[in-house]
Amino acid sequence: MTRSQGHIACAALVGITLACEAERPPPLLADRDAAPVADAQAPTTDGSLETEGFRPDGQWLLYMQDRYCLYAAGQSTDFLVWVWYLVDLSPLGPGATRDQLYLRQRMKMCAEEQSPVVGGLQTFVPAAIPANLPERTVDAFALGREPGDAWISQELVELWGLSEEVGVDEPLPESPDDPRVVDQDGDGEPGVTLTIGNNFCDVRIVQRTRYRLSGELVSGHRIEGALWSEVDKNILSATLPFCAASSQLEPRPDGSRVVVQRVDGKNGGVNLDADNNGAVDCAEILAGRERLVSSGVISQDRPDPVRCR
Amino acid sequence: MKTTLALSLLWTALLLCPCAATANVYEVFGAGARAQGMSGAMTAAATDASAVWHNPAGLTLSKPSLSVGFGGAFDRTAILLAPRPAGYDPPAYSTRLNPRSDSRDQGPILGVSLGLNLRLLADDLRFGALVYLPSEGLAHTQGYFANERQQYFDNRLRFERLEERLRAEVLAAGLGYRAADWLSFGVGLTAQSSAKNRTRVYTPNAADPSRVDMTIQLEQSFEAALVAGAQVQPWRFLRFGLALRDELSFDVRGRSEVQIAGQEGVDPYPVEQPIALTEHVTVPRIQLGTALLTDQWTVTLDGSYDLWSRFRDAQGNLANFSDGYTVATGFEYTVRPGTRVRGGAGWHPSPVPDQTGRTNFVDNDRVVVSVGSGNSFRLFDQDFEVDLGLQVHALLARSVTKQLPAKPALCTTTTTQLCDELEDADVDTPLFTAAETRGLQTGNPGFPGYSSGGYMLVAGTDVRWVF
Repeated sequence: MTRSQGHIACAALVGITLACEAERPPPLLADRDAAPVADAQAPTTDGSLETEGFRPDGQWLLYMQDRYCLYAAGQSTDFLVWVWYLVDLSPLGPGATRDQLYLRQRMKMCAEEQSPVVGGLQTFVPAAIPANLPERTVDAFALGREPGDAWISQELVELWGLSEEVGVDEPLPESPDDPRVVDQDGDGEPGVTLTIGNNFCDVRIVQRTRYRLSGELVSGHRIEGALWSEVDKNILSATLPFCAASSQLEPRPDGSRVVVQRVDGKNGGVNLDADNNGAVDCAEILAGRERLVSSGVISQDRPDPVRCR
Repeated sequence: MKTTLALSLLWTALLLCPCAATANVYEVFGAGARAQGMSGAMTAAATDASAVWHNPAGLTLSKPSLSVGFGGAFDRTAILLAPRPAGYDPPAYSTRLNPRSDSRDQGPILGVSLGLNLRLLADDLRFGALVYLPSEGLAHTQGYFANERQQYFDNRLRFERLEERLRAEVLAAGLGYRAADWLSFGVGLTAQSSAKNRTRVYTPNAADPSRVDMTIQLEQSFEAALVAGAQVQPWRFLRFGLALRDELSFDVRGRSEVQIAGQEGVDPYPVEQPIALTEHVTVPRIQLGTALLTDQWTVTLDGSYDLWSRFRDAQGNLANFSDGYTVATGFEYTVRPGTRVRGGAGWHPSPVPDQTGRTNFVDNDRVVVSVGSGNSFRLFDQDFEVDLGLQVHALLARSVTKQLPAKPALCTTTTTQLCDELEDADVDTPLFTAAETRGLQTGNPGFPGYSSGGYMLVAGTDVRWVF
């Protein structure tokens, strides 16, 4: 081997060994926790922060906007009912696959609001009514934990001024003397008392509302879906005959919707725990309503004057 | 007559050999300093005791000899791990006995070899023996899990075809028979120790597992694999060699029988724990070689086909490697009578597919370049030879990125994808929250990826007494 051949051989050896040095790979995968945190700096459309997948625990707001066409006094009016529930959500167990979940929803109505109807008169639901309604336990089923996965809830039935024994298909009592009628709001009158207008009149009713809810996960802290409801109501008495006039409700499912929004500040949900005591209550839900609506977390339609004509 | 005898010998050996199966320094570096200097391309050129390994038929082509050798390898290979992303840790991952770590500087590989080429009855019938004793001692082995289970042990990766396999002893012997001037045959056995183990354990206090009474029954034995070969030299300047090698491995089998006080009568009692360890696997190989021979030159070319698809991991499971080939070439040039220089090169492509799933069999394509020399001299009126061999094994850099399954499956014995070590929980427990169980949790040391490469410098010398 000549000297030049030796140099070539040595250079080849050095080249080979240098080419073989392993270099540490760069980070190949983003931190699973870090990415959402970075995104969390920018609020999403629901005003909260981006998070991981659906976590079935904690306190949630269930918000329903129920829409009808109300026929009364010869007029048809676009009629909206907004109902606010506080929901304690917990997992019951897995479904057929490990991503599916049975959920337990303990639901407490916090408030119901109604849009004005004939003549601009608005029905007010006194706070005593939701305050005296029992907590409802309604189970649900989630087909997964990722956005797009379905959520289906059992039927929620609310009884106003009625004993709990009243069945879902049973005709409602028409007389205040019916033993199934109870003074639920504690005002000394049978049934519940609604105030119409600015103390224009009071009307005492019994009412049964059945809600069927379904939707899909849109993020780890939010479910959006559709709402079907059926309202049965009997007027027991009214302080003015006008207020006792019968009316008819025609559901408008296309304007009805349900939003289930995490509100305990965990997993990226909004935080309505104003007193920082670790739990959200109905007072905090009601105090946070404006903020939720103004930030777009909850959207509240206004009555459309031409919608039901 | 001679041919018939040789074929009978070969056939008898094939029938008698149970042929269980070891990889070792000889397979990777070549047997002896001469072979190391020629990159192991010796199927048609091995003539001294090293022929027991490369092709026993070559035993008849040199004078009887006794050799002592010393060799070593300076390991500069490395496996560098990609940084672990946060959010994938299984519970208590930070408390592992050994933190996840790179693999590098595994220490030198040193050993001594002894070789014998002995005439039996006639010059055409030879006995050869070859022994390699690593500095680690006999029956050295180190178990390993090439998946997430390794996190509980040294929590690193290793070169599956190199590391432990280069620290195993070699015990080989064979016979060579020259049937005609142009035809030789040979058969040999390569032995590997194996063990059976039965351990009986009694734990008198279940709350204190550090106190146990134990009896151990250990049975050491040997397994052997056949090597058979032939050399044909139709012309004076050309020789062909063919060698077949069966598979061999170091196996430990057995079981532990565990009794725990207070559990008597609770099925299963006693608890039986199987023990199964497979190491130093050498897969079946077919070698074909040629040697071009002149007065001054010997030029060799070898090709081998290895059945790597039969490679088993330390737990005895097939590792899903691909069968593959290697090629090597070497030369020997007589500079002047009694002085020879050698050189060679080899290409050893990796049979190991990209480890994007659960397993971490680290392996690289390997280029071998070698040089060597040989000198003959007389001392005390006896003939001696000294060979030197130097090799560089370059492991071409390779990177692996694990594939993240969309829906990771729980780790079971059959899972091949990167797998989830913790089933998703629906409720928080004292150990972890439900959120911490969602998606993939893995302590696989190879996750999310790694790079491997580097080189080994190999040096060996043999002193041979030719008689």
